[in-house]
Amino acid sequence: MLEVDSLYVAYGPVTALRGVSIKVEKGSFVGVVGPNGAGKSTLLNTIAGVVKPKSGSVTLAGSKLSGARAEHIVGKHLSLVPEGRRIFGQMTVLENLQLGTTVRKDREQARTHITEMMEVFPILGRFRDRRAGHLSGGEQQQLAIARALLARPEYLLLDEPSAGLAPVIVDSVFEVLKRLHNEGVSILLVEQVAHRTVETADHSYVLQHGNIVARGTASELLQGGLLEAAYLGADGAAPEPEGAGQA
Amino acid sequence: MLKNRWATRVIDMVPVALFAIIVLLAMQSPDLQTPARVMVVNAVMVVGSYIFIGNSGILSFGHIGFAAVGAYVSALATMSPRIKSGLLDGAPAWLVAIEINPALGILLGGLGAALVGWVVSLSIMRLSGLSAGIATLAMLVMIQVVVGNADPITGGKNSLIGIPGGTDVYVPLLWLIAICVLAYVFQHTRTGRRLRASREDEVAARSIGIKVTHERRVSFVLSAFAVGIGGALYGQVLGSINADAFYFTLTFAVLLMLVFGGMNSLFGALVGTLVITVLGEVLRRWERGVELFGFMFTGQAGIREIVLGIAMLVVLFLFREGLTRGREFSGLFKKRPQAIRTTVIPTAGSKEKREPVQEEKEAVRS
Repeated sequence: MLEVDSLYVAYGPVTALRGVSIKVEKGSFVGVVGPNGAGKSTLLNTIAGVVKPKSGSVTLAGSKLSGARAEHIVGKHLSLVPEGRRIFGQMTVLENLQLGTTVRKDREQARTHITEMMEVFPILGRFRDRRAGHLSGGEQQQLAIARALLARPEYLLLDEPSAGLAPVIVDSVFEVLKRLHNEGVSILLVEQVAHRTVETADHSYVLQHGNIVARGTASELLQGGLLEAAYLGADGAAPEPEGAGQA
Repeated sequence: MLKNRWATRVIDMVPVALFAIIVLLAMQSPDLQTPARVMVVNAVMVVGSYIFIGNSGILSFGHIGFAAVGAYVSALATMSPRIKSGLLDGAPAWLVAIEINPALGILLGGLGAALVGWVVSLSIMRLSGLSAGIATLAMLVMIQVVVGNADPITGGKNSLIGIPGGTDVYVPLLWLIAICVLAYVFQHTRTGRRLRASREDEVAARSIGIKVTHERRVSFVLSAFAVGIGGALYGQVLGSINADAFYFTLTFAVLLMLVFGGMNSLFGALVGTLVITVLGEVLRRWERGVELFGFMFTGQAGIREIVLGIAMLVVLFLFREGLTRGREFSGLFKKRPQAIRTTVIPTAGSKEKREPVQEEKEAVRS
């Protein structure tokens, strides 16, 4: 199980997370939603070792992750698909995929896995020798997910994979995530597309101003009006429109 | 696929062969022999710097410090004891007594620079971006101060003369080819690929498990070795060295060549060296005075630096990635990307097509 306990993160004088605690059971699909600036990306980046916490802990199957560097955390079966995809645009699709196997020692199996990945995402096989920067947004997202999966993670962390994508591509991104979940990959998804995320995940957390303000299953959050209440906040701002985060 | 890959690699080596041919042709003219030899030595230092700068994306201002180390180690190891005892007052006896073959001296110069590079890399490679660049500048200043003040060992501000080697161009040329092959092979190794990934996006590189500090360290040491070889060749080609030769003037000359040609490719490093050397030589002769159709044309003193500076600005305005736009030679023959497609991630029931998003339009335009 991936467990985040009382996590405090600050960027100078600005506190981004204020004692956040979440749990991701092995094989589960957990969503984290919240408005801009809620601290969602900070949460993922802290779990993945990109950002150092001020206090609190992150443990994976009982072993402590907080304080470890990002490059060492990947070796512990946890991969991050960063916000904005962050593929290596000047390199080919194949090179991007090869880089995804960096932490693996089984070179032969890794090569086979790359071939398999190009079958799972046929577009990557088709454009394997093309510069990744020349792919469309949706294709780049597939590449980012495929690259993260090549590290054979038990836990996949995704930071707003739907950002900047057209609605039909967002649909297919969610389909891919469901498929991965069904194959046994534990998923922690951070999204602004709140309803969609909550409906897809087994369990979700709502983050606001660095605090967890609501948690529960889709029915608990949607039917009880918890999601809207949490999203509206004190200022009564309108909830996100349907399809937010789309191009 | 395999054949294509090898064909690409062979094509990418064509500029190295062309560079060598140009040098050999220039050597036929007595007037051009010295500039041609210096150009080869500069090319070794530029390609050596490229191994680190080009692959890591960190602009190092300190690599000429490694050239100084290479030059002094090689010179001190190869000079005759008689000359050394005359120049180095208070030098250790073993240093005066040592005298090895010039060819071995070049290798020793490279290894000495690599050793210094390794020690320095332990601290500097923990930094990124501009901080790392500034730290390399500090390293250059420190090496300069040490070399310029270690009188019993380096002769301090005085020149070391009588460095054996030779006036032929074949040894530097062979070293240039070897360093080019080293640079090219390195950029296609796993370490090279990981380093280039970190150049594009360090956070993304770390998030997939790339140990960026380690990869940078490897390339830094390799690069120091290559630049050290360049420094050793510099001493042997010119026959004398002094501490001031390895400071800001040479640093900016090497960086100018690398940035001008394009610091993201070996092809760029060679093109930059060739163009800047030729342009610099033409302007140098103009400064001295050129007779054309019976008239004497003489440029203002300092026109060389001004024109080279303007040329650099023009290239950076027109081609941000240098003249070669960061491409290897085989990249000149590759097709441009195809037109916009309307693909979606294949999932059950997703048959819709869509209009291209803004990013795609930009990708195709680029």
